[in-house]
Amino acid sequence: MADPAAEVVRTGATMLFESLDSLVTRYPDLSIRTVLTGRGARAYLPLVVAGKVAGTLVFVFAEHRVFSQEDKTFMTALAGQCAVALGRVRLQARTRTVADTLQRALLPVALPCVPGFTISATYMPATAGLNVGGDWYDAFLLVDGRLVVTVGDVVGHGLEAAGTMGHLRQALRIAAHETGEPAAALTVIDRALRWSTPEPRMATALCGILDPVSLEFVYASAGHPAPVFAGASVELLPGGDPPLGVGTGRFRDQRTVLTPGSRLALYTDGLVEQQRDVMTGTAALLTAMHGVAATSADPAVAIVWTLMGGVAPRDDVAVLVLAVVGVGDRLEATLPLGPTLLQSTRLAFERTARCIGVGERQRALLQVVLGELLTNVVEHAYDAAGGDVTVRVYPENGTVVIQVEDRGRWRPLRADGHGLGLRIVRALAQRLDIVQGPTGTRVTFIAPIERAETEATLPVGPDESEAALTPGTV
Amino acid sequence: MHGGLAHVAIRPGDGIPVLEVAGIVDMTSVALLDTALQDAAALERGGVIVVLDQATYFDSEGLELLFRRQASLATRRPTLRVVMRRAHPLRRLFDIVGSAAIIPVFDTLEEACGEQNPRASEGP
Repeated sequence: MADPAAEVVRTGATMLFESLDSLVTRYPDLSIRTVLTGRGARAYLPLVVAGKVAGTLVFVFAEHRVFSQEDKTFMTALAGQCAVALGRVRLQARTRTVADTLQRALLPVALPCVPGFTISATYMPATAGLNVGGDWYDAFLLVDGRLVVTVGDVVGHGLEAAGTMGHLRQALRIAAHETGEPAAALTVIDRALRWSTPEPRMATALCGILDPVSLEFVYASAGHPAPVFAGASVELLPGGDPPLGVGTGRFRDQRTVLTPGSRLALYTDGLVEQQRDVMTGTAALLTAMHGVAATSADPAVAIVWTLMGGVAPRDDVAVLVLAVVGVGDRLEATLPLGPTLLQSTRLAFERTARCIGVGERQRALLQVVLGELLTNVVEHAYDAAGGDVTVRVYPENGTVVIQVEDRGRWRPLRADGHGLGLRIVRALAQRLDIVQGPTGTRVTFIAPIERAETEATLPVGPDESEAALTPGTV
Repeated sequence: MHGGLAHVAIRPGDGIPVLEVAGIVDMTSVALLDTALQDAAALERGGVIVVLDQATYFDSEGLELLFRRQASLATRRPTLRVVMRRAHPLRRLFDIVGSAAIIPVFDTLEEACGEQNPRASEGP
């Protein structure tokens, strides 16, 4: 054993050396660094935490020293104090790690894919003390295809707050599914929180529901920081009602309409309170929404880094940015197969077809065409491991083109009595191309646009790409 | 296209069971319609009328189900009847798949109720 400090950790026994000479005699291979600390006495004492030696406390004296009983008593007491402090630090670090891990485990694993929109979200735990825990973000689709986004902040920190956060986030999901309205969902949560045991908790939350066709965003806020909307200009949207768990328990739905190319940020207060000045933090957020959020591939992360100024946050921060990136007369989206695929694609098609000018009657039938093609991919293209599907819709020379492409093994829609899908698709098509290749299948449906005389075409946003989508081969 | 998945209600009464279908009938919701059809058929009141006027989406999954149930009901008279107003955008689907010979489609519920001897066959 070439190092007395390591030997103390191994044995748990105190080691005293009256001079460097006596130390070197026992440990001839001492590091030069230990030798250079001086020629005086050394004392090595174990730091015992929870019955185990966690480290060694080393005393280096300037001169030769014969250790008295008082010396030994003093050093042992000091080592005991250090061990207690070390134990607390380690416990706090462990608790913080558990809280951080729990917090992350309670946040959504993945965000939904919504054609025409991007959702970016991030959570950054506080670095000091046990401030971790309590903030959340969430995004999910209702069965009718509308997108729900929520952010919230449970009062308090640590494991208990993280646990409450997990319960609230899930409860808000269920309430949103059941009610379909943000204010009604918050009312349900507020009631549950008031009657929670052993004691009621308080939380702030914002719940919003986006209609992907009309782009109307309905939201209700329970004491939560106001959302920031960045369209032609950047503005704070109206705030809300008292927090959950206190106050009147009544919440109001507020409405705004997003525009093509716009962004909406939901966040927790840690984002704008980093400088202990909410006004300055909010102003910085407005600037970031106009700046980095518009150009970054991950606006939520960009906003957090910008507002934190490279400094780790003092409080938890959760940010969710919803961006309207591709709603117009062209739709191109690659989506994973899943329970929301059909409905979210239907809504995206509805808006795109309206922008193209397809009349209501033909839209209903083309929805069936798209549904038949997607259903075939769902049922036949992939095995249980799943896959994804790319959908393209665009106008071309007076026609509307619907293209569905998978990367699996495609089985032709059957034309017998048990497979009516192909019969329907062919009957409604001016032209139907099916290109099968080793890496997948692309089906292209083309039909003349049938416009409705009395129906207005939805405006195409300013962000729409002018580049034409050109069908290729698989 | 809003309105969510299918909602199927069996209209109470002593006559032929009437299923009122609203919303979206696709591969994820067709089982709801199937269950309701079987429940209605089990009443054994001389058939079933399916009203699709409020259906916002109805594709081959729903059509194939109607054909299958019609085949299983074929020994009873009268059997399955569908109501969908002529102006409904999806009415054309019944023409495309040639359902007229198998499942009679009526413009109104009154017409369907008044029909005493609808035709039935083994399949499309």
